[in-house]
Amino acid sequence: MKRLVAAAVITVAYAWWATSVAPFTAICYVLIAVPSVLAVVLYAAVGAFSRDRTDIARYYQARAGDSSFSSITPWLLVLCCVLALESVGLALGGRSPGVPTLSTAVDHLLVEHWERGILFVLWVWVGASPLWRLWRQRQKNQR
Amino acid sequence: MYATIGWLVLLGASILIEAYGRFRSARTSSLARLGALLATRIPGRVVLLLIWVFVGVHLFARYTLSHHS
Repeated sequence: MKRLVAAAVITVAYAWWATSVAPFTAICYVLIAVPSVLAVVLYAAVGAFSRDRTDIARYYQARAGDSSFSSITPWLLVLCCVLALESVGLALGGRSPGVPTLSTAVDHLLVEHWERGILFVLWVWVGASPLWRLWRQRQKNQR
Repeated sequence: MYATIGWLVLLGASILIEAYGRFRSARTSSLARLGALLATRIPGRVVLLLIWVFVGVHLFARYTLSHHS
């Protein structure tokens, strides 16, 4: 529990720092690269990219349950709509006020520092939570 | 303007699909189950990780504010 709290505090502090620097700068890319590279290394360390770890495939199959093509169709339809809208936005130059691309639309959520900070924490959480579950799964298998 | 509404409609649809997937899991997959389905194979895990990195770089290193442009 203490480790979780410490990780949360470090994540929030790092998010605040990383989202305070100006975009398109070298330090900005470095601050994004650090958690990205760390995630790749840690996923490799838990064996997520190893062919020998069939238990990970079984774990994800169990989590996926009885998912089938028909059960993911709504998500595929949303994806098709996203691709269509994004294509139109890009065809109109990418920054059209009439048809903004997804990133132009999302830019409105990044105006304030605290908004970027919250999104950064969410981004780290999305990347780290599967890693945390894989880590716990590995510990469970080793017992 | 209409396209912005379109993005909001897609966001609302995604929230509804996610809620439906969590309560009627037999008929519709939640985002977590969709992610797990993709992650059953190594290439799927690699793609998911690359998407995550791309989103991070695009959101936090390549965003544009009116006073930055």
